[in-house]
Amino acid sequence: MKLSCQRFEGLRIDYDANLDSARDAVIKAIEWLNDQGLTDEECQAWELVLAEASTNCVLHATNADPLRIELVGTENKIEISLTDHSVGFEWPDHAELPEDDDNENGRGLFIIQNLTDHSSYLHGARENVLNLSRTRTNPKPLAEDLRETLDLMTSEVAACYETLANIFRISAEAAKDLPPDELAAKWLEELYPLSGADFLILRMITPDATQLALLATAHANSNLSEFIELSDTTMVESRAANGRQDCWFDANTTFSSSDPLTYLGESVSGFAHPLETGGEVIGVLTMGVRSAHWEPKARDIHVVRSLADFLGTLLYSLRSRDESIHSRLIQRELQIAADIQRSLLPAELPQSSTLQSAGHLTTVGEVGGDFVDGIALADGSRLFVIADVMGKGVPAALFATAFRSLLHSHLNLATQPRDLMRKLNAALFPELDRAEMFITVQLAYITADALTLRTSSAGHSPLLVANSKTVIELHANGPPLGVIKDIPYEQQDLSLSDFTHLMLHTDGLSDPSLPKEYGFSKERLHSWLRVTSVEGIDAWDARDTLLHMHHLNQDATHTRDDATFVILTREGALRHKPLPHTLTHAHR
Amino acid sequence: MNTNPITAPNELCSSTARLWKERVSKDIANQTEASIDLSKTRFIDSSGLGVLLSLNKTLQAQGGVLKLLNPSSAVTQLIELTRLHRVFEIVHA
Repeated sequence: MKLSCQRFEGLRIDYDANLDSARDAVIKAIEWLNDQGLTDEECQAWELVLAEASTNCVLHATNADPLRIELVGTENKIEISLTDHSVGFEWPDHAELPEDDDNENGRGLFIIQNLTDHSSYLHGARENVLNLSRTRTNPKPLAEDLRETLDLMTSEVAACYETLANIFRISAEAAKDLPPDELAAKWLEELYPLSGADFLILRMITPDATQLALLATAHANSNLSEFIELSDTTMVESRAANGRQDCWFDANTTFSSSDPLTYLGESVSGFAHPLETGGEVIGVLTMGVRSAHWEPKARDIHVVRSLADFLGTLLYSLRSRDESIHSRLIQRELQIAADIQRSLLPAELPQSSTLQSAGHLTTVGEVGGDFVDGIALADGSRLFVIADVMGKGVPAALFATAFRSLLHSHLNLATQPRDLMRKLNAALFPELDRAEMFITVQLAYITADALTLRTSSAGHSPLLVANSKTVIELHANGPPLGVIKDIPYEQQDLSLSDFTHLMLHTDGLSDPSLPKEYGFSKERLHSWLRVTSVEGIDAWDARDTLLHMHHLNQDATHTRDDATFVILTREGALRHKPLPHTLTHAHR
Repeated sequence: MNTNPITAPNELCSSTARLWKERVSKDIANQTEASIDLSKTRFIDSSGLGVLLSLNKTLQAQGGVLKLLNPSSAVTQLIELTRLHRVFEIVHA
């Protein structure tokens, strides 16, 4: 049987959750009330009340955790609270006796309410508290133990003042947007003199809930381990977090050899206190002394625990706030980037009687680095451009903007893609190099009669040209823009008279790193393009079919990547029909 | 018929009531009259009252009646507070 008593603003009794222990606790409480000068009648009434209440606590307990009775005596009143670990119940305003006098149960609450002046029941996440009070028949004479009473009151008032003053100070620090580690360090220094401890260590649970990360210390060694695995319950601090209760240690404790507390000295004692908010453990505050045993005053522990719980909640809310702000900033940045990207896309791709074009741009998430353009030149020729800026977000979008501006300001070079590519590289190199970014580009110039293709590539996926028998890859390749300063680019001419379909695409469409059986492989893409040519499918239907296949492939392989492509079909391969949406854009 | 009073314990409460009830239930089996001597009972709670009510019901089922002898003033007050004086026959000798 376990029965521990502790003087704390009166008397605190912790007892085991069984009826015998509860009875002993009630007797102990009545002894204390008797010592406070209560009359026999008052003691009898309280004995009955406490018997009813503690029996309920035992009978409805959902675990074996100790139960608690706390008694506080003032000059005019006795206040008693009972803490239980039950699912709780609705406390009635006015409990009634059973309608049937012969009913053997149902009188406890009626007795409690009739023998006390006030009763209330507070529901908690893990425990509930029944608060009871009753006015004393004979006020306690102040002269009795006056000095002791005044000392106790002074001490309590001082403790409350210290608690409140520190709480306000910490709140003020938090309002100054101090980083959490600085805030915690300041707070520990404030707490240090109050705690009576030689050292304080604060660890917070990492966002992935796998570790206790060292946040701040006061007067502890600087070489404490940065992280403790939460799953390692051989450590005192992780044990406190997992067990959700104070974990005491002293000279008799067998520490794990890797327990950070062993670095604090040969002989340490103290306790690790879990910090909880909203029913969730968020960290652990460890405090102790460099001696074999430590018996801190209950008042000191109470102050420290109160402050620790407050700081834990504060840090937790700060972290949540920071994460929320960060998340909103990222969201906003991606939104800006997406707006920029959308503004760069042409409303439609150019069409002519000799050449039809259809394209698609899919971005995963808010924005990608893909870029596509189709420009009708004055002489009826066309320049098709597909590019991929390394990276995502605003930086990629800004480079895509710069790329488009430069492209459109140098269209006089469109008939010679290699010259245009070299010009683009020269203009963009300084900024790309500084940002350590690059852009892959495919330029495809097609004459007005759609009989000649002239292409140049800067590290981009090869351009595909197909007829019913074959698919050719054009590799007029050079390095991506921004990699080598002032380098000449190649270009390749090809007569299109024997070909029906052309395709420009980014590597998101056919990822060469994926195994054949999983990816939308190069072979499969070639095969599809050849069949498309055989069947004489126009650019728009081909675009829709390819897009459908891409989605099916991604669903099958559980992958998501940007996919951008342009399909061109020459006269003779077409079934003419009006299709307004020659370029589609989708977010996935 | 057993007319000797059955002495209730010093404390008839949640921690003692169940065992005492088991013992007394055997004593009053097939009895039509029984009395519980409460003069030694310093403390009783609602669990203790529940046991007395249970014994009373047993006797009533057997056509008998349960008498409570010489309860202390504190016990009497509780019986009156819970209005069980309407159920039990209380005898002060």
